[in-house]
Amino acid sequence: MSSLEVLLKDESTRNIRRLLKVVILITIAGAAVSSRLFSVILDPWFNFRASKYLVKNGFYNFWDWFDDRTWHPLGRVTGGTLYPGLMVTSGAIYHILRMLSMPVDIRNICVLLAPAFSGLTALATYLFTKEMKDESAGLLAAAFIGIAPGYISRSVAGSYDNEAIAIFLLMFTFYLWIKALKDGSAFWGALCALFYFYMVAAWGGYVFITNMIPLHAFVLVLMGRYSPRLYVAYTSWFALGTLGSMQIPFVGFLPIRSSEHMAALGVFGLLQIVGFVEFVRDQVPSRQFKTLLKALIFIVFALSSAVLVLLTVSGVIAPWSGRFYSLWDTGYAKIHIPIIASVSEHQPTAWPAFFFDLEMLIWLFPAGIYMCFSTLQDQHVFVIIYGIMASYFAGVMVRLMLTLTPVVCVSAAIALSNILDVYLSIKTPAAPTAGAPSVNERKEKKPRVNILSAGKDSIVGVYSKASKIAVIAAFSIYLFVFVLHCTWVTSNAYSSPSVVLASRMPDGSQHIIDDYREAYYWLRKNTPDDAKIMSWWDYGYQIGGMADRTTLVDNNTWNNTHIATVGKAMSAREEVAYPILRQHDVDYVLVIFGGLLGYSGDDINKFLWMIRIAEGVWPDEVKERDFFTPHGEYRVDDGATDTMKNSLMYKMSYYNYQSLFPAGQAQDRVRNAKLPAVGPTLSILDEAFTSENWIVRIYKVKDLDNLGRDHLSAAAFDAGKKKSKRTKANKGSQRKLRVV
Amino acid sequence: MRLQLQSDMASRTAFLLFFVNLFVSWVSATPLTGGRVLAVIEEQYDSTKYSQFLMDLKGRGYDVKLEPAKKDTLSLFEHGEKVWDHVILFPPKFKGYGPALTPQKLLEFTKLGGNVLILTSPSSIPEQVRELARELDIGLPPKDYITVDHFNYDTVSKSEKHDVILANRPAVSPAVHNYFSGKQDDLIAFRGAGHTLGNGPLLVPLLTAPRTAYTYDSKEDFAYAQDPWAAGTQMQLVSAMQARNNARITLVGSVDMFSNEFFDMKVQKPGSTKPQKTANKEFCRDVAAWTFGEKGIVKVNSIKHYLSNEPNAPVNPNMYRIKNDVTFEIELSEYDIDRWVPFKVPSGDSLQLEFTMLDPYYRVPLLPSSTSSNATTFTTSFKIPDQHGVFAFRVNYKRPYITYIDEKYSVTVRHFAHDEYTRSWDISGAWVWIAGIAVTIIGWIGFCALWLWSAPAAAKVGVKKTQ
Amino acid sequence: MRSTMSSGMSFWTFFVLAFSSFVGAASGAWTFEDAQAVVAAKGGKADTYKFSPTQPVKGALTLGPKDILKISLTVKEDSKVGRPHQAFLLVQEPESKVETFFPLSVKELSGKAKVDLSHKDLPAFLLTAPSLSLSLVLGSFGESPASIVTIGGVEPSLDPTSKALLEKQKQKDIGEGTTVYKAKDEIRYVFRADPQSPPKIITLAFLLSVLAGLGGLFVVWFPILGGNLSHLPKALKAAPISHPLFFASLLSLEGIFFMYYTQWNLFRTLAGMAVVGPVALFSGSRALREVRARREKGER
Repeated sequence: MSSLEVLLKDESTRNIRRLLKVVILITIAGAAVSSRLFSVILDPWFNFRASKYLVKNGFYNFWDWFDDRTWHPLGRVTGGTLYPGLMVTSGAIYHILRMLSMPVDIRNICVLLAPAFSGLTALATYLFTKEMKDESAGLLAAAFIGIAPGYISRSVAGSYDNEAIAIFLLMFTFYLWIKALKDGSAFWGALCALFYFYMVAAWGGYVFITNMIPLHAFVLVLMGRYSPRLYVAYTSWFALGTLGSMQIPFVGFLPIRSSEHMAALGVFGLLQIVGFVEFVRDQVPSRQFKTLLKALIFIVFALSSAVLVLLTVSGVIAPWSGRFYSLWDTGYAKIHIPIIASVSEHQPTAWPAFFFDLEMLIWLFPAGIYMCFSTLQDQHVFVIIYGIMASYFAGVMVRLMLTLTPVVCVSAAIALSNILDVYLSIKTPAAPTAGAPSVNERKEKKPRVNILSAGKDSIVGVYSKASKIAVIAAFSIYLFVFVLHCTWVTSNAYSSPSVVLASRMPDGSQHIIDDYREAYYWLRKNTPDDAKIMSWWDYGYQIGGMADRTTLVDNNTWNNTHIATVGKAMSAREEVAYPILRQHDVDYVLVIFGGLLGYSGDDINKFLWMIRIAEGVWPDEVKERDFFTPHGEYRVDDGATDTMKNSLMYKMSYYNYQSLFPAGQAQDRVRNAKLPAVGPTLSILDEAFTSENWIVRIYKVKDLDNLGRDHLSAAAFDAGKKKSKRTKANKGSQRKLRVV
Repeated sequence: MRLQLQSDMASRTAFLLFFVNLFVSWVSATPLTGGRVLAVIEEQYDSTKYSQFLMDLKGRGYDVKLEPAKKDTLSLFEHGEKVWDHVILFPPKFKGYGPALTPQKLLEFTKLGGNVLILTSPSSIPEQVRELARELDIGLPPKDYITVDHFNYDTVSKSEKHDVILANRPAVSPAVHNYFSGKQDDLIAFRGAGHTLGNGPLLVPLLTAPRTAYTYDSKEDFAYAQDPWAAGTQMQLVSAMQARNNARITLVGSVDMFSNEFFDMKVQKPGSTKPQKTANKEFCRDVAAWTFGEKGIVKVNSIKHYLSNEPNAPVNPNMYRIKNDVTFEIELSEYDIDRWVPFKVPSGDSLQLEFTMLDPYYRVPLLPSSTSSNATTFTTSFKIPDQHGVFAFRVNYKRPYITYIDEKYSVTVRHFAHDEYTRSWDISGAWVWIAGIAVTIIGWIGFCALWLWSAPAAAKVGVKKTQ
Repeated sequence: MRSTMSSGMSFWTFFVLAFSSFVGAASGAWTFEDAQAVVAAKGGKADTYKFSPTQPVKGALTLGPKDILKISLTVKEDSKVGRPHQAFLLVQEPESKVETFFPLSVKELSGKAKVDLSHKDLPAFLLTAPSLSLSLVLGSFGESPASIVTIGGVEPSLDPTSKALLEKQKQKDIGEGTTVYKAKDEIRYVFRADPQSPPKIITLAFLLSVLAGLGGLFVVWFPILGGNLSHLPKALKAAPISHPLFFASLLSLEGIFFMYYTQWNLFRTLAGMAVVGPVALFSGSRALREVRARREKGER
């Protein structure tokens, strides 16, 4: 026995090993936290605002919160339309810290919540992977998840979003599920349900768990691996978890009424039948009876499916939601729910993103899956299913890269740990003949062998020290590069929040473009407290949080019509837009314009989505076709269509822009277009504010004309233009009659 | 309060006027909307022509200052504030007014709340007034077009020309407060040109031409009116625009209406038997009083809304809940020359309260509930709709001749809080489910007792559960 | 603009003098004769209607989209032919009294006057009215009294598409004018109907069946399957604390649920659970261990 063996296996060093493990885990957690602290800017302002409200007004007022500062004038039943888990978590931490006489500002808690929970995620991943293979794989997985950019992207300090705690909950729930399944324990099943409830409270992605666990159970049943353990674990999770999830107001009765949740219910029913059949099989040996039973199962299954279809058709059970369809058909959203497709996070993932976010893990991932196949216990089936589903979803939507990352870390850790197991053992394996007895031993232990696990019994050994060193060295370098890559990605790509833009000056120094905050600060200081700001919904939360002003629409896209109204106002002519602005009490309109700086995420580039969303509601009034030239180009220069040039968005973006350039030289640097020599005119709006780099432009909506004229002629009059004189009397039908 | 007269006009009349003025300004207070009146009048000769009208103004507390149209130092503003409260424009003798009275400046003046009374005569409608009228959507005839009526002319004066039209005051309408429809047999003498009005909601006719009157080119069409400019009731003799900020601009087609000559004139319609004194004095006073905000000013003293059924409910809360019963009160006063009196809604009209979010959910009449010496309280109650959002109590009462009332008061209507729904035991349909829960609990307790303490019976109880 | 009032005056006087000398000192009223209204359709078909100052056209004339209403007459000042200064055809919408005018062209010597009226002469507001009344006004300077007589009515007939177009045009002409200045229609919000409970009798029937289920359960347990509590003394002897404690904690858990249902808030409930839960867990494990001991002894 080598000293290493002693260290790793011997009873006497158990405590040291345990200590080492704890130290390693703490270090991993520390690394996970510290790698998320590159730059700190609080981002989803709504969650922060909600947390402040919770801390200030208490839980029950938060529950009943009606927010009249968003979605003007509809307001939002916020307490009933959000996942309260995140806010309640930070609220609880806040109160616990105060109880421990550590008064901490809620803002600090919100900022640091995501890194703190990423430490917990590392722990949960460790536990989960430990159930899959062993502790060393667990530690590797924890280290991977701690620094994997795919997860860091959603959990840097200040990224106070639901995902910040949801990934921890996801992994921990899965761990508890595996634990419950392994032990057949109602206790662990109940714990799993408890964390499932927490997950439901925290993130809409809980549906992933709701379908993953039933799918796992279903596959196990199909594989003939039904066992009382499965029955106990599943039923206790399902019953308690479903009851728990229904306590969240936003979820309510969805678990029994929507198609997304039907799989869990169906598998629950299936397990009852299978359980009953197994029970009867144990009691009654008769062969005919078994056939009868099989028929019974089939009939019950068919009947219940029929009932399900019937209920769905009759509307008792809500059909699959659009978001669900868009997971299977990537073109679906663009046609039917443009509002979902308009979010960049909902676009299909480009393949480099996988390497960017996961680096070497992505190629270790299949190896890990293969390792799972080769052992294929119940829990490995789970990893395989999870891996397949998550990779599909991550391919469909950039955002779901987040759910893929944990399983990639787990299976990569399994693969790598296997490699290390083999190549790190200094002992040279015995001659192949010596391996024979152990094969027999194993075979006795595991009577069920299938083709997939055919290769697992042969012991692989490496004889040459040189090859060991080479492989270990190679992997050390891989790991080292992985760490470098993660650090680089984190510091460069995922630590620049959307409100502050960084650019490089010609001399390489960093230049911070802070137009957003400048504009929001201007709004906060220069507009009345009850001013209503219209902007595209992307900026709703920021305006609500940073400028503290009422918005028409925000990032919570629950009301498509209201968003379409804003889209219509933006895409319509001035005189069409004005009544809409008046009706919604709009005081200011805010647009993002990147033409001067070459900032491509501006409103003109998002404009087509606004038009599409508006067209979905008013197909007669807004037509996407009118914004394209006859050749099908989307242009802003001289060749732009009249509809485009007369739209409020175009006018607001380019108003006065020509004055920055010599005559006729105005240039849009995003779209690389030379703008018309004469800029647009605005009559219903006054320019109120334009930020330093022209990124944010704010316009004030004019009041009705004092003399009841339309704004165009009023503006012309003020400018000193004379109306055409008409002193000759009109005749016949030309004569204007006063009929009031 | 001084009467601005040039020294060469220190005649006896002026002296007398001065003292009368001094006396009157002693007794009457400054009018509600301010008493500084600028009368742009060309020559002192003209001011004697209109002295009765001007004296009457002074008698009501106005400080009238006469200035020639072309005076260089004349200005409507100082430091961005208006230095006059009201402006009367008499037709200029020569081409137009000075640079202080461009239409842009006049509109700026009304934007600041100043009232303008424009008097025109067919031979002299300056370009400034035409331009202003175009902005107001008032159609003015070309120069030297005059209005005649072969049915309602004055037979006493120059009966051949038929150009002194005798108009009746507007008919009394049950739906509006018309401050100009006084005695119906009053005759108002008018010599000038009518104009036409657009359909703008801010324009109101104060005096409409008779059905048979028409305006024609007195220079060209003397043989017969082959191309009359306007005719009949579509033509107005005096009309006004009340801007959204309640400033008033009144346009009069005949400056002679306001002259001493017409005030004292006795007139007779064709076919009537005896001459009658004109009502010009009264009517012109009405026009000036209305234009300068002595009449038709309605103010909102207070707005209250509260929960109807709770005696101690706070007044004007920011938030209501759906299906609350609320009461809304508004207290209105109307200014009548020199004091506030209770506002009365005309019998054929209705003061309405809207409860709106994007669209009105309610539009209900506000009914007078109590009247004090100078205000009326109008009240209504209703149940808030079962739709949450930011609603507004809105009283949008815009009627001709009175100032606009557009009060908007936003309140938030929230949904039911989690503990405000009907409790399940009050819903009979829920009893079955409640009983189901109770049965489950009792059964569970019973089962626990059995499990813990049951001795095996003849048939083994519970064993089957454990195996 | 240099020409002042006085120069206009002299012109005036001249004209008036000339005119009165032409007309003479006639004292009779302005009137007309030989009046007829012709509705000429496009195809050449024409209907003629005669009228006079005392006899208006009976019934309303229908004016189609392509028709032309031609009115012709001879103007007389008393009995002589003449040309009055004012000879207008007035077209009025009777309800709103909105009226417009069409000057007649009058021949100076013969007094023959005529005017044509077709759809394109009428403003949208009048054209969309169901009926219009026609009047003739004749008047001039001098002593002769002017006259105004109603000569009949016209019903413009429109095809639906052009009617819709005209209505649109009418709305555009009017603008928001008509919507202001008037009391609007009253609106009262109609509430969504409250959800209804089924008839109480049905509820009670189901309620009874649920309760009967409980009764049935106890009947099955006790008399039929022979459930009993006869091991209670034995259990109490073996585990005197944990058995009562476990059962009591179960009862109090249900009690806490009941209190939450009726009055407690969530935090109180959670606190109560936090107290009772561990008690139930620990006493329960002891009690159940005792139960297992009995089973292992074969006493169950």
